[in-house]
Amino acid sequence: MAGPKPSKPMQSAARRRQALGDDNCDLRFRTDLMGVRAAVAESIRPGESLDVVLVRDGSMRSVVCQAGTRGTVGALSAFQGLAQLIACIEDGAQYSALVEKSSARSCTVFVARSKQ
Amino acid sequence: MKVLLFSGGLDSSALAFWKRPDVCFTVDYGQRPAAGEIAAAAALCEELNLRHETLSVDLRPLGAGSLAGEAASGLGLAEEWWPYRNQMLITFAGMRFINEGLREIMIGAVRTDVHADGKAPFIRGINRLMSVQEGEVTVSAPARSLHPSKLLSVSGFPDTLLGLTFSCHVMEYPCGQCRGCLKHLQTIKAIKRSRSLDT
Repeated sequence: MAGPKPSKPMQSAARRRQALGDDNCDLRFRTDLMGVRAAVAESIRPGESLDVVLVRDGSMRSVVCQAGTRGTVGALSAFQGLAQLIACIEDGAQYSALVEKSSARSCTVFVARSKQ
Repeated sequence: MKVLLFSGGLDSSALAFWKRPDVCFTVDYGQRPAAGEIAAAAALCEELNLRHETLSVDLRPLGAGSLAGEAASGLGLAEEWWPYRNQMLITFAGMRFINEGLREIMIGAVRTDVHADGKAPFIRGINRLMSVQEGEVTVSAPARSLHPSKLLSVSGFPDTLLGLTFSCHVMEYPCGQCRGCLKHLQTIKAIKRSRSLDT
């Protein structure tokens, strides 16, 4: 008697991309940071490069921009493709965020993949 | 004295700008995004030149849903439902400010709220409950009949402060995926679309 049909192993984002024959991690987008931390944001200047970092809290994940030791400026959450960005970072892709406009109240960045 | 329950989210931020309460009051009751709420609320109050106070009372063992990092309760209509949350926050505000001349507590309930403690029967009930006690404090929800984007418009809340607001239900930094973040983004899109149509 046949048992239950084994389920297919979950494909990683990288495998899915290979199947597509495409590099879906070559992401580039402009966005305003959300949850801007005023004390850090007021210290950064246009032209500065911020680290794009995946933050975990239990099973929850957020992608934030950090200004080195000064701390987190805000989160990358107001754009389409957040799930893809998270999947790519988890697969090892690295990104940086170029500051285009900034004040203590807001920060606009252009995010692109870092050269590896 | 008028006190606003202030999470640093879009709705309460718009109310703070619009109604200019004497105190904006943020409670860390053990919710996962408390640090993000407090950071946003403090920054917004500094920008708006409003008095800001915080209170920390760890009630996470009594919480439920995504705000508490727990499975959603079957009782609430959405994953973030926390039992008696607004009743608890209103009570804390009353306890904290009753001896400072408190007259009114405002909450940021809006038309799209799905939980009973954001709806008109609750507002009427809690207003009655507070007003029959010492101090005769009233409870109001000035934006109760407004859609969140309408509230932003009516209040005149400036676009330049939108980046400081914070509505995540699950983390210190906006996750972009929970109901709070999605509502936040939808509201900002709606207000920007309407303003671009106006110009």
